[in-house]
Amino acid sequence: MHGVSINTQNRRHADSGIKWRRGGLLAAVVCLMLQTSWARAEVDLSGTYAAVQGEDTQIRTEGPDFADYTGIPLSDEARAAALSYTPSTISEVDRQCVPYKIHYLLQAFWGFRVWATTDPISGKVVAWNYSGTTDRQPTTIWMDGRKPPADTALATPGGFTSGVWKGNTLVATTTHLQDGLLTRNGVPASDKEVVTMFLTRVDNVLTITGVIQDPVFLTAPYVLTNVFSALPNQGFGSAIGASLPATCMPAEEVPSVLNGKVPSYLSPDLNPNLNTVSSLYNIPRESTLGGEQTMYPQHSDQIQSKYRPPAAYCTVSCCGAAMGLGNLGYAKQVLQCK
Amino acid sequence: MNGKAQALFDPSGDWVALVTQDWRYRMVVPGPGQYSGIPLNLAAKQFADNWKAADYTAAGKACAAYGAPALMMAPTRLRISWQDDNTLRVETDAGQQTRLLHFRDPAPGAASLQGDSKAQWLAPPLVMNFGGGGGPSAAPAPKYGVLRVSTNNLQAGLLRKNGVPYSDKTILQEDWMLNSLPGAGEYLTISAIIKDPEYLRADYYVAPVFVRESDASKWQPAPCTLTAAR
Repeated sequence: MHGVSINTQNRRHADSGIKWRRGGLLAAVVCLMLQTSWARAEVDLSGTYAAVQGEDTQIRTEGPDFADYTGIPLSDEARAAALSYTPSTISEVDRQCVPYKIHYLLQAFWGFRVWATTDPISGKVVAWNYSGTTDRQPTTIWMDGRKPPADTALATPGGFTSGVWKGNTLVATTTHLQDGLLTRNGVPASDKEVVTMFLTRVDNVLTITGVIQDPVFLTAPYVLTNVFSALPNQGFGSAIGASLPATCMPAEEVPSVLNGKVPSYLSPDLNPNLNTVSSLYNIPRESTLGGEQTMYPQHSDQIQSKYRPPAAYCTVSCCGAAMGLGNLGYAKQVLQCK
Repeated sequence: MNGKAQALFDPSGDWVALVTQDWRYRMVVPGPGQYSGIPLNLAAKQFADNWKAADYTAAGKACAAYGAPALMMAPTRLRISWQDDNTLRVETDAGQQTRLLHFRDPAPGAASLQGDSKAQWLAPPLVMNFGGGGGPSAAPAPKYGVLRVSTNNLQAGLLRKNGVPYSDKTILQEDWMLNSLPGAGEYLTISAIIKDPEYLRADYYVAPVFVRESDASKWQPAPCTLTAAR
Protein backbone atom coordinates (compact mmCIF):
# COMPACT_ATOMS: atom_id res chain seq x y z
CA MET A 1 0.00 0.00 0.00
CA HIS A 2 2.76 2.30 0.97
CA GLY A 3 4.27 1.79 -2.32
CA VAL A 4 0.97 2.53 -4.02
CA SER A 5 0.66 5.76 -2.07
CA ILE A 6 4.06 6.88 -3.18
CA ASN A 7 3.22 5.91 -6.72
CA THR A 8 -0.04 7.86 -6.50
CA GLN A 9 1.74 10.89 -5.19
CA ASN A 10 4.32 10.57 -7.89
CA ARG A 11 1.59 10.27 -10.48
CA ARG A 12 -0.06 13.40 -9.18
CA HIS A 13 3.23 15.23 -9.39
CA ALA A 14 3.78 13.81 -12.83
CA ASP A 15 0.25 14.74 -13.96
CA SER A 16 0.65 18.25 -12.70
CA GLY A 17 4.02 18.50 -14.45
CA ILE A 18 2.49 17.28 -17.71
CA LYS A 19 -0.37 19.74 -17.37
CA TRP A 20 2.07 22.54 -16.65
CA ARG A 21 4.19 21.54 -19.59
CA ARG A 22 1.11 21.24 -21.82
CA GLY A 23 -0.02 24.66 -20.72
CA GLY A 24 3.41 26.10 -21.35
CA LEU A 25 3.62 24.43 -24.73
CA LEU A 26 0.18 25.71 -25.67
CA ALA A 27 1.15 29.22 -24.63
CA ALA A 28 4.35 28.97 -26.60
CA VAL A 29 2.49 27.74 -29.71
CA VAL A 30 -0.06 30.56 -29.43
CA CYS A 31 2.74 33.02 -28.94
CA LEU A 32 4.60 31.69 -31.97
CA MET A 33 1.44 31.74 -34.07
CA LEU A 34 0.98 35.36 -33.20
CA GLN A 35 4.59 35.99 -34.14
CA THR A 36 4.55 33.93 -37.31
CA SER A 37 4.57 35.32 -40.80
CA TRP A 38 4.47 33.53 -44.11
CA ALA A 39 6.71 34.23 -47.02
CA ARG A 40 7.65 32.82 -50.39
CA ALA A 41 10.63 30.56 -50.00
CA GLU A 42 13.90 31.06 -51.74
CA VAL A 43 15.20 27.98 -53.44
CA ASP A 44 18.05 25.96 -51.96
CA LEU A 45 20.49 25.80 -54.85
CA SER A 46 23.01 23.65 -52.99
CA GLY A 47 24.23 20.57 -54.77
CA THR A 48 26.26 19.02 -57.52
CA TYR A 49 25.11 19.67 -61.06
CA ALA A 50 25.85 18.05 -64.40
CA ALA A 51 25.54 19.93 -67.68
CA VAL A 52 22.86 18.25 -69.77
CA GLN A 53 21.81 20.73 -72.45
CA GLY A 54 21.88 19.35 -75.98
CA GLU A 55 22.48 22.64 -77.79
CA ASP A 56 25.87 23.83 -79.09
CA THR A 57 27.45 20.50 -78.27
CA GLN A 58 30.41 21.06 -80.56
CA ILE A 59 31.04 24.53 -79.12
CA ARG A 60 30.85 23.18 -75.59
CA THR A 61 33.22 20.30 -76.29
CA GLU A 62 35.74 20.63 -79.10
CA GLY A 63 35.06 24.36 -79.36
CA PRO A 64 33.63 26.54 -82.13
CA ASP A 65 34.93 26.38 -85.66
CA PHE A 66 37.45 28.99 -86.70
CA ALA A 67 35.85 32.26 -87.76
CA ASP A 68 32.34 31.06 -86.95
CA TYR A 69 30.48 33.99 -85.39
CA THR A 70 26.97 33.00 -86.43
CA GLY A 71 24.33 34.28 -84.03
CA ILE A 72 26.72 36.57 -82.15
CA PRO A 73 25.75 40.27 -82.13
CA LEU A 74 29.33 41.40 -82.40
CA SER A 75 30.39 44.86 -83.56
CA ASP A 76 32.64 45.56 -86.56
CA GLU A 77 35.53 46.21 -84.17
CA ALA A 78 34.94 42.89 -82.46
CA ARG A 79 34.84 41.09 -85.80
CA ALA A 80 38.14 42.66 -86.87
CA ALA A 81 39.74 41.65 -83.59
CA ALA A 82 38.29 38.14 -83.84
CA LEU A 83 39.64 37.68 -87.36
CA SER A 84 43.11 38.67 -86.20
CA TYR A 85 42.97 35.91 -83.59
CA THR A 86 44.90 32.71 -83.97
CA PRO A 87 44.74 29.74 -81.59
CA SER A 88 48.46 30.24 -81.06
CA THR A 89 47.47 33.25 -78.98
CA ILE A 90 46.78 31.08 -75.98
CA SER A 91 50.31 29.75 -76.18
CA GLU A 92 51.32 33.11 -74.73
CA VAL A 93 51.52 32.66 -70.99
CA ASP A 94 49.81 35.96 -70.23
CA ARG A 95 46.85 35.12 -72.50
CA GLN A 96 46.31 31.49 -71.67
CA CYS A 97 43.38 32.11 -69.36
CA VAL A 98 41.56 34.79 -71.31
CA PRO A 99 38.92 32.52 -72.93
CA TYR A 100 37.49 31.49 -69.60
CA LYS A 101 35.55 34.39 -68.15
CA ILE A 102 32.42 33.91 -66.08
CA HIS A 103 30.20 33.37 -69.12
CA TYR A 104 32.17 30.22 -69.91
CA LEU A 105 29.67 28.63 -67.52
CA LEU A 106 27.13 29.01 -70.33
CA GLN A 107 29.43 27.76 -73.08
CA ALA A 108 30.92 24.57 -71.67
CA PHE A 109 29.83 21.12 -70.69
CA TRP A 110 31.42 21.24 -67.24
CA GLY A 111 29.35 20.53 -64.19
CA PHE A 112 29.78 22.43 -60.97
CA ARG A 113 28.90 22.55 -57.30
CA VAL A 114 26.83 25.15 -55.45
CA TRP A 115 26.95 25.88 -51.75
CA ALA A 116 25.78 28.60 -49.41
CA THR A 117 27.78 30.76 -47.05
CA THR A 118 25.61 31.53 -44.03
CA ASP A 119 25.85 34.08 -41.25
CA PRO A 120 26.88 32.15 -38.10
CA ILE A 121 24.54 34.18 -35.89
CA SER A 122 21.39 34.68 -37.98
CA GLY A 123 21.73 31.66 -40.26
CA LYS A 124 20.83 33.82 -43.24
CA VAL A 125 22.51 33.20 -46.58
CA VAL A 126 25.25 35.75 -47.06
CA ALA A 127 26.41 34.37 -50.39
CA TRP A 128 25.86 31.60 -52.90
CA ASN A 129 29.00 30.10 -54.34
CA TYR A 130 29.61 27.96 -57.36
CA SER A 131 32.79 26.14 -58.15
CA GLY A 132 35.13 26.98 -60.95
CA THR A 133 36.12 24.30 -63.37
CA THR A 134 39.62 23.74 -64.67
CA ASP A 135 39.86 27.18 -66.27
CA ARG A 136 36.91 29.24 -65.07
CA GLN A 137 37.22 31.01 -61.74
CA PRO A 138 34.87 30.11 -58.89
CA THR A 139 32.12 32.67 -58.32
CA THR A 140 30.69 34.15 -55.14
CA ILE A 141 27.26 35.70 -55.49
CA TRP A 142 26.93 38.15 -52.62
CA MET A 143 23.40 38.20 -51.21
CA ASP A 144 23.96 40.61 -48.31
CA GLY A 145 23.32 43.79 -50.23
CA ARG A 146 26.90 44.95 -50.27
CA LYS A 147 27.74 47.55 -52.85
CA PRO A 148 30.03 46.75 -55.79
CA PRO A 149 33.55 48.13 -55.75
CA ALA A 150 34.22 51.53 -57.28
CA ASP A 151 34.35 51.73 -61.05
CA THR A 152 38.08 52.24 -60.78
CA ALA A 153 38.57 49.06 -58.75
CA LEU A 154 40.67 46.26 -60.14
CA ALA A 155 38.93 44.17 -62.80
CA THR A 156 39.55 40.46 -62.31
CA PRO A 157 38.81 37.26 -64.25
CA GLY A 158 36.04 36.43 -61.76
CA GLY A 159 34.68 39.96 -61.37
CA PHE A 160 32.27 41.02 -58.64
CA THR A 161 28.84 39.39 -58.44
CA SER A 162 25.80 40.31 -56.39
CA GLY A 163 22.43 38.60 -56.38
CA VAL A 164 18.78 39.10 -55.55
CA TRP A 165 15.87 36.66 -55.57
CA LYS A 166 12.90 37.28 -57.84
CA GLY A 167 10.50 34.53 -56.88
CA ASN A 168 12.27 31.25 -57.46
CA THR A 169 14.88 32.83 -59.73
CA LEU A 170 18.22 34.07 -58.46
CA VAL A 171 19.36 37.05 -60.51
CA ALA A 172 23.16 37.36 -60.37
CA THR A 173 24.91 40.37 -61.87
CA THR A 174 28.65 40.42 -62.52
CA THR A 175 30.73 43.51 -63.15
CA HIS A 176 34.43 44.39 -62.83
CA LEU A 177 35.46 41.68 -65.25
CA GLN A 178 38.88 41.71 -66.82
CA ASP A 179 38.91 41.94 -70.58
CA GLY A 180 39.32 38.64 -72.38
CA LEU A 181 37.44 36.53 -74.87
CA LEU A 182 33.72 36.02 -75.35
CA THR A 183 34.22 32.83 -77.34
CA ARG A 184 37.03 30.36 -77.71
CA ASN A 185 37.54 31.35 -81.34
CA GLY A 186 38.63 34.87 -80.57
CA VAL A 187 35.60 37.16 -80.26
CA PRO A 188 36.80 39.70 -77.69
CA ALA A 189 35.10 40.81 -74.48
CA SER A 190 35.91 44.12 -72.87
CA ASP A 191 36.27 45.11 -69.23
CA LYS A 192 32.97 46.99 -69.61
CA GLU A 193 31.12 43.72 -69.93
CA VAL A 194 28.19 43.07 -67.58
CA VAL A 195 26.86 39.54 -67.25
CA THR A 196 23.44 38.88 -65.77
CA MET A 197 22.49 35.31 -65.04
CA PHE A 198 19.00 34.15 -64.14
CA LEU A 199 19.25 30.88 -62.22
CA THR A 200 15.98 28.98 -61.88
CA ARG A 201 15.84 25.58 -60.27
CA VAL A 202 12.64 23.54 -60.64
CA ASP A 203 12.75 20.06 -59.17
CA ASN A 204 16.22 18.79 -60.10
CA VAL A 205 16.70 20.93 -63.20
CA LEU A 206 18.62 24.20 -63.02
CA THR A 207 18.17 26.48 -66.02
CA ILE A 208 20.48 29.44 -66.43
CA THR A 209 19.64 32.25 -68.82
CA GLY A 210 22.63 34.52 -69.28
CA VAL A 211 22.46 38.00 -70.75
CA ILE A 212 25.85 39.37 -71.78
CA GLN A 213 26.10 43.09 -72.41
CA ASP A 214 29.26 44.69 -73.71
CA PRO A 215 29.05 48.28 -75.00
CA VAL A 216 32.46 47.94 -76.64
CA PHE A 217 32.18 44.70 -78.60
CA LEU A 218 28.45 43.84 -78.79
CA THR A 219 25.67 45.79 -80.50
CA ALA A 220 22.89 43.94 -78.63
CA PRO A 221 22.65 41.68 -75.58
CA TYR A 222 24.02 38.22 -76.30
CA VAL A 223 21.70 35.72 -74.64
CA LEU A 224 22.71 32.14 -73.92
CA THR A 225 21.20 29.35 -71.86
CA ASN A 226 22.57 26.30 -70.17
CA VAL A 227 20.72 23.52 -68.37
CA PHE A 228 22.04 21.43 -65.51
CA SER A 229 20.69 18.43 -63.67
CA ALA A 230 21.16 18.14 -59.92
CA LEU A 231 22.55 14.83 -58.77
CA PRO A 232 21.38 14.54 -55.17
CA ASN A 233 22.28 10.90 -54.71
CA GLN A 234 25.64 10.81 -56.44
CA GLY A 235 29.11 11.99 -55.52
CA PHE A 236 31.13 14.93 -56.79
CA GLY A 237 32.73 12.83 -59.50
CA SER A 238 29.37 12.00 -61.08
CA ALA A 239 29.19 15.38 -62.80
CA ILE A 240 32.04 15.97 -65.20
CA GLY A 241 34.02 18.95 -64.01
CA ALA A 242 32.36 19.40 -60.64
CA SER A 243 35.38 18.15 -58.77
CA LEU A 244 38.18 19.44 -60.97
CA PRO A 245 40.71 22.05 -59.87
CA ALA A 246 39.25 25.49 -60.27
CA THR A 247 42.03 27.72 -61.41
CA CYS A 248 43.56 28.38 -64.78
CA MET A 249 47.30 28.03 -64.24
CA PRO A 250 49.34 29.62 -67.03
CA ALA A 251 52.41 27.69 -68.04
CA GLU A 252 54.96 27.74 -70.85
CA GLU A 253 53.62 24.80 -72.83
CA VAL A 254 55.10 25.07 -76.32
CA PRO A 255 57.80 27.76 -76.25
CA SER A 256 59.19 26.86 -79.65
CA VAL A 257 55.98 27.83 -81.44
CA LEU A 258 56.12 31.51 -80.67
CA ASN A 259 59.85 32.17 -80.54
CA GLY A 260 59.24 35.65 -79.18
CA LYS A 261 56.56 36.60 -81.70
CA VAL A 262 53.08 37.86 -80.89
CA PRO A 263 50.73 35.57 -82.78
CA SER A 264 48.00 37.27 -84.80
CA TYR A 265 46.82 37.87 -88.35
CA LEU A 266 47.61 41.50 -89.03
CA SER A 267 44.78 41.78 -91.54
CA PRO A 268 41.49 39.85 -91.43
CA ASP A 269 41.96 38.97 -95.09
CA LEU A 270 45.14 37.14 -94.17
CA ASN A 271 43.22 34.81 -91.87
CA PRO A 272 43.39 31.39 -93.57
CA ASN A 273 40.25 30.29 -91.70
CA LEU A 274 38.01 32.98 -93.12
CA ASN A 275 36.10 30.47 -95.24
CA THR A 276 36.33 27.39 -93.03
CA VAL A 277 32.66 27.31 -92.05
CA SER A 278 31.50 28.16 -95.55
CA SER A 279 33.51 25.33 -97.04
CA LEU A 280 32.48 22.81 -94.38
CA TYR A 281 28.76 23.56 -94.23
CA ASN A 282 27.97 25.78 -97.26
CA ILE A 283 26.93 28.62 -94.95
CA PRO A 284 27.35 32.03 -96.64
CA ARG A 285 30.11 34.23 -95.32
CA GLU A 286 27.63 36.99 -94.49
CA SER A 287 26.29 34.60 -91.85
CA THR A 288 29.54 33.12 -90.59
CA LEU A 289 30.92 36.57 -89.83
CA GLY A 290 28.01 37.14 -87.47
CA GLY A 291 26.41 40.35 -86.35
CA GLU A 292 23.16 41.17 -84.64
CA GLN A 293 21.10 40.41 -87.74
CA THR A 294 22.22 36.78 -87.80
CA MET A 295 20.39 35.89 -84.59
CA TYR A 296 16.92 36.81 -85.84
CA PRO A 297 14.65 34.47 -87.85
CA GLN A 298 14.39 36.70 -90.91
CA HIS A 299 18.10 36.15 -91.55
CA SER A 300 17.34 32.57 -92.54
CA ASP A 301 15.01 33.92 -95.24
CA GLN A 302 17.67 36.35 -96.42
CA ILE A 303 20.28 33.64 -97.02
CA GLN A 304 17.89 30.99 -98.27
CA SER A 305 18.77 31.51 -101.95
CA LYS A 306 22.50 31.27 -101.17
CA TYR A 307 22.42 28.11 -99.10
CA ARG A 308 22.16 24.48 -100.01
CA PRO A 309 22.69 21.70 -97.45
CA PRO A 310 25.98 19.87 -97.95
CA ALA A 311 25.40 16.87 -100.18
CA ALA A 312 28.08 14.80 -98.51
CA TYR A 313 27.40 12.93 -95.29
CA CYS A 314 28.65 14.68 -92.18
CA THR A 315 32.31 14.09 -91.29
CA VAL A 316 33.00 16.76 -88.65
CA SER A 317 31.34 16.96 -85.22
CA CYS A 318 28.43 14.82 -86.38
CA CYS A 319 27.40 13.23 -83.11
CA GLY A 320 28.05 13.71 -79.46
CA ALA A 321 25.29 14.67 -77.10
CA ALA A 322 25.12 16.29 -73.70
CA MET A 323 28.02 14.69 -71.92
CA GLY A 324 27.86 16.21 -68.49
CA LEU A 325 26.81 13.05 -66.72
CA GLY A 326 29.78 11.00 -65.74
CA ASN A 327 27.93 7.77 -66.30
CA LEU A 328 27.38 8.62 -69.95
CA GLY A 329 30.86 8.71 -71.36
CA TYR A 330 31.60 10.99 -74.27
CA ALA A 331 33.42 8.31 -76.23
CA LYS A 332 30.55 5.91 -75.71
CA GLN A 333 28.06 8.41 -77.04
CA VAL A 334 30.15 9.26 -80.07
CA LEU A 335 30.68 5.60 -80.83
CA GLN A 336 26.97 4.91 -80.61
CA CYS A 337 26.35 7.41 -83.35
CA LYS A 338 28.70 5.71 -85.72
CA MET B 1 -9.48 30.53 -59.78
CA ASN B 2 -8.70 30.11 -63.43
CA GLY B 3 -5.30 30.00 -65.11
CA LYS B 4 -5.41 33.63 -66.14
CA ALA B 5 -6.31 34.86 -62.68
CA GLN B 6 -3.55 32.75 -61.13
CA ALA B 7 -0.92 33.90 -63.64
CA LEU B 8 2.50 34.51 -62.14
CA PHE B 9 3.54 36.49 -65.19
CA ASP B 10 1.93 37.59 -68.39
CA PRO B 11 3.43 35.89 -71.45
CA SER B 12 0.92 37.38 -73.86
CA GLY B 13 2.34 39.53 -76.63
CA ASP B 14 4.82 39.28 -79.47
CA TRP B 15 8.13 37.45 -79.17
CA VAL B 16 11.03 36.67 -81.47
CA ALA B 17 13.48 33.79 -81.19
CA LEU B 18 17.09 34.69 -80.48
CA VAL B 19 18.99 32.06 -82.42
CA THR B 20 22.30 32.20 -80.60
CA GLN B 21 22.70 28.46 -80.04
CA ASP B 22 22.52 25.49 -82.41
CA TRP B 23 22.58 28.06 -85.21
CA ARG B 24 23.75 25.56 -87.83
CA TYR B 25 20.79 23.26 -87.15
CA ARG B 26 18.11 25.92 -86.74
CA MET B 27 18.80 28.73 -89.20
CA VAL B 28 19.56 26.48 -92.14
CA VAL B 29 18.53 22.94 -93.03
CA PRO B 30 21.38 20.79 -91.72
CA GLY B 31 23.09 18.35 -94.03
CA PRO B 32 22.85 14.57 -93.81
CA GLY B 33 24.36 13.09 -90.68
CA GLN B 34 24.49 16.36 -88.71
CA TYR B 35 22.96 14.97 -85.52
CA SER B 36 25.20 16.65 -82.95
CA GLY B 37 23.54 17.37 -79.63
CA ILE B 38 20.70 14.88 -79.89
CA PRO B 39 21.10 11.70 -77.82
CA LEU B 40 19.63 9.61 -80.59
CA ASN B 41 19.82 5.84 -80.57
CA LEU B 42 20.80 3.55 -83.40
CA ALA B 43 17.20 3.19 -84.63
CA ALA B 44 16.90 6.97 -84.90
CA LYS B 45 20.20 7.25 -86.71
CA GLN B 46 19.18 4.60 -89.21
CA PHE B 47 15.84 6.32 -89.71
CA ALA B 48 17.54 9.68 -90.31
CA ASP B 49 20.24 8.24 -92.57
CA ASN B 50 17.56 6.83 -94.87
CA TRP B 51 15.15 9.73 -94.65
CA LYS B 52 14.33 11.82 -97.74
CA ALA B 53 12.75 15.25 -97.57
CA ALA B 54 11.17 14.78 -100.98
CA ASP B 55 9.34 11.65 -99.83
CA TYR B 56 7.91 13.43 -96.79
CA THR B 57 6.88 16.45 -98.82
CA ALA B 58 5.21 14.26 -101.44
CA ALA B 59 3.35 12.44 -98.69
CA GLY B 60 1.99 15.72 -97.35
CA LYS B 61 4.11 15.56 -94.21
CA ALA B 62 6.00 18.82 -94.58
CA CYS B 63 4.75 19.93 -91.15
CA ALA B 64 6.41 16.98 -89.41
CA ALA B 65 9.29 19.24 -88.34
CA TYR B 66 6.89 21.70 -86.70
CA GLY B 67 5.45 19.49 -83.97
CA ALA B 68 5.60 20.63 -80.35
CA PRO B 69 8.95 18.93 -79.51
CA ALA B 70 10.69 20.87 -82.32
CA LEU B 71 8.54 23.96 -82.81
CA MET B 72 10.06 26.23 -80.17
CA MET B 73 13.53 25.63 -81.64
CA ALA B 74 12.42 26.93 -85.04
CA PRO B 75 13.55 30.39 -86.16
CA THR B 76 10.16 31.86 -85.50
CA ARG B 77 8.16 34.61 -83.92
CA LEU B 78 5.54 33.84 -81.32
CA ARG B 79 2.19 35.49 -80.80
CA ILE B 80 0.84 34.56 -77.38
CA SER B 81 -2.65 35.43 -76.21
CA TRP B 82 -5.34 34.22 -73.82
CA GLN B 83 -7.88 32.32 -75.88
CA ASP B 84 -10.03 32.14 -72.77
CA ASP B 85 -9.40 32.27 -69.03
CA ASN B 86 -8.00 28.75 -69.02
CA THR B 87 -6.22 28.51 -72.36
CA LEU B 88 -3.05 30.17 -73.59
CA ARG B 89 -2.79 30.31 -77.36
CA VAL B 90 0.73 30.22 -78.83
CA GLU B 91 1.03 30.88 -82.55
CA THR B 92 4.17 30.71 -84.69
CA ASP B 93 4.78 32.44 -87.98
CA ALA B 94 7.19 29.68 -89.03
CA GLY B 95 4.99 26.84 -90.19
CA GLN B 96 1.87 28.73 -89.04
CA GLN B 97 1.27 26.43 -86.10
CA THR B 98 -0.91 26.91 -83.02
CA ARG B 99 -0.32 25.38 -79.63
CA LEU B 100 -3.01 25.51 -76.97
CA LEU B 101 -1.84 25.37 -73.35
CA HIS B 102 -4.76 24.23 -71.20
CA PHE B 103 -5.06 25.02 -67.49
CA ARG B 104 -7.91 22.51 -67.35
CA ASP B 105 -7.62 18.96 -68.61
CA PRO B 106 -7.85 19.13 -72.40
CA ALA B 107 -10.60 17.12 -74.01
CA PRO B 108 -9.31 13.73 -75.14
CA GLY B 109 -8.84 13.40 -78.85
CA ALA B 110 -6.70 11.87 -81.55
CA ALA B 111 -2.94 12.30 -81.51
CA SER B 112 -1.85 15.48 -83.23
CA LEU B 113 1.17 17.51 -84.26
CA GLN B 114 0.95 19.76 -81.23
CA GLY B 115 -0.46 17.12 -78.89
CA ASP B 116 -2.34 17.85 -75.68
CA SER B 117 -0.68 20.42 -73.44
CA LYS B 118 -1.57 20.78 -69.78
CA ALA B 119 -0.35 23.99 -68.13
CA GLN B 120 0.10 24.91 -64.50
CA TRP B 121 1.75 27.75 -62.61
CA LEU B 122 4.55 26.83 -60.22
CA ALA B 123 4.95 29.46 -57.52
CA PRO B 124 7.75 29.49 -54.96
CA PRO B 125 6.57 27.49 -51.93
CA LEU B 126 5.22 29.20 -48.84
CA VAL B 127 7.31 28.87 -45.72
CA MET B 128 6.60 29.89 -42.13
CA ASN B 129 8.85 32.50 -40.55
CA PHE B 130 8.82 33.37 -36.87
CA GLY B 131 8.37 37.05 -36.30
CA GLY B 132 5.80 39.41 -37.71
CA GLY B 133 2.20 38.27 -37.89
CA GLY B 134 -0.57 36.91 -40.03
CA GLY B 135 -1.26 33.53 -41.59
CA PRO B 136 -0.81 32.07 -45.04
CA SER B 137 -3.49 34.34 -46.40
CA ALA B 138 -1.36 37.32 -45.42
CA ALA B 139 1.54 36.16 -47.55
CA PRO B 140 2.16 38.38 -50.54
CA ALA B 141 0.79 37.08 -53.81
CA PRO B 142 3.65 35.69 -55.89
CA LYS B 143 4.81 37.88 -58.74
CA TYR B 144 7.24 35.43 -60.22
CA GLY B 145 7.30 31.76 -60.99
CA VAL B 146 7.36 29.19 -63.71
CA LEU B 147 4.77 27.98 -66.19
CA ARG B 148 5.02 24.18 -66.42
CA VAL B 149 3.64 22.72 -69.66
CA SER B 150 3.34 18.96 -70.09
CA THR B 151 2.54 17.67 -73.58
CA ASN B 152 1.61 14.18 -74.75
CA ASN B 153 -0.69 12.55 -77.31
CA LEU B 154 1.71 13.59 -80.06
CA GLN B 155 1.94 12.35 -83.62
CA ALA B 156 5.38 11.18 -84.64
CA GLY B 157 7.52 13.91 -86.20
CA LEU B 158 11.02 15.28 -86.77
CA LEU B 159 13.38 16.95 -84.32
CA ARG B 160 15.54 18.22 -87.16
CA LYS B 161 14.93 18.84 -90.83
CA ASN B 162 17.55 16.28 -91.79
CA GLY B 163 15.34 13.44 -90.63
CA VAL B 164 16.05 12.96 -86.90
CA PRO B 165 12.76 11.46 -85.72
CA TYR B 166 10.67 11.46 -82.58
CA SER B 167 7.98 8.88 -81.99
CA ASP B 168 4.35 9.08 -80.96
CA LYS B 169 5.45 7.95 -77.50
CA THR B 170 7.26 11.23 -76.95
CA ILE B 171 6.51 13.30 -73.88
CA LEU B 172 7.51 16.95 -73.73
CA GLN B 173 7.93 18.85 -70.48
CA GLU B 174 8.58 22.57 -70.62
CA ASP B 175 9.21 25.20 -67.97
CA TRP B 176 8.45 28.67 -69.30
CA MET B 177 10.31 31.43 -67.47
CA LEU B 178 10.04 35.18 -67.90
CA ASN B 179 13.12 37.23 -67.00
CA SER B 180 13.34 40.99 -67.29
CA LEU B 181 16.41 43.13 -67.41
CA PRO B 182 15.78 46.88 -67.37
CA GLY B 183 17.13 48.45 -70.52
CA ALA B 184 18.00 45.10 -72.06
CA GLY B 185 14.64 43.47 -72.66
CA GLU B 186 12.22 40.87 -71.46
CA TYR B 187 13.24 37.28 -72.14
CA LEU B 188 11.15 34.14 -72.33
CA THR B 189 13.19 31.01 -71.77
CA ILE B 190 11.55 27.66 -72.47
CA SER B 191 13.54 24.96 -70.72
CA ALA B 192 12.39 21.72 -72.29
CA ILE B 193 12.97 18.03 -71.69
CA ILE B 194 12.09 15.68 -74.53
CA LYS B 195 11.61 12.03 -73.57
CA ASP B 196 11.22 9.44 -76.28
CA PRO B 197 11.63 5.78 -75.35
CA GLU B 198 11.68 4.77 -79.00
CA TYR B 199 14.33 7.05 -80.51
CA LEU B 200 16.27 8.70 -77.65
CA ARG B 201 18.64 6.90 -75.31
CA ALA B 202 18.63 9.78 -72.82
CA ASP B 203 16.48 12.81 -72.12
CA TYR B 204 17.11 15.61 -74.62
CA TYR B 205 17.36 19.07 -73.03
CA VAL B 206 17.00 22.32 -74.95
CA ALA B 207 16.32 25.87 -73.78
CA PRO B 208 15.43 28.30 -76.58
CA VAL B 209 15.08 32.00 -75.72
CA PHE B 210 12.71 34.63 -77.06
CA VAL B 211 12.80 38.40 -76.56
CA ARG B 212 9.65 40.48 -76.38
CA GLU B 213 8.86 42.76 -79.32
CA SER B 214 6.79 45.89 -79.07
CA ASP B 215 4.40 44.94 -81.88
CA ALA B 216 3.67 42.35 -84.55
CA SER B 217 5.08 44.35 -87.47
CA LYS B 218 7.72 41.71 -88.23
CA TRP B 219 5.27 38.81 -88.14
CA GLN B 220 5.85 36.91 -91.38
CA PRO B 221 3.77 33.74 -91.80
CA ALA B 222 5.48 31.00 -93.76
CA PRO B 223 4.03 27.58 -94.61
CA CYS B 224 5.60 24.34 -93.47
CA THR B 225 8.62 23.35 -95.47
CA LEU B 226 11.37 20.77 -95.21
CA THR B 227 13.69 22.52 -97.64
CA ALA B 228 14.14 25.83 -95.82
CA ALA B 229 14.73 26.73 -92.19
CA ARG B 230 11.35 28.43 -91.68
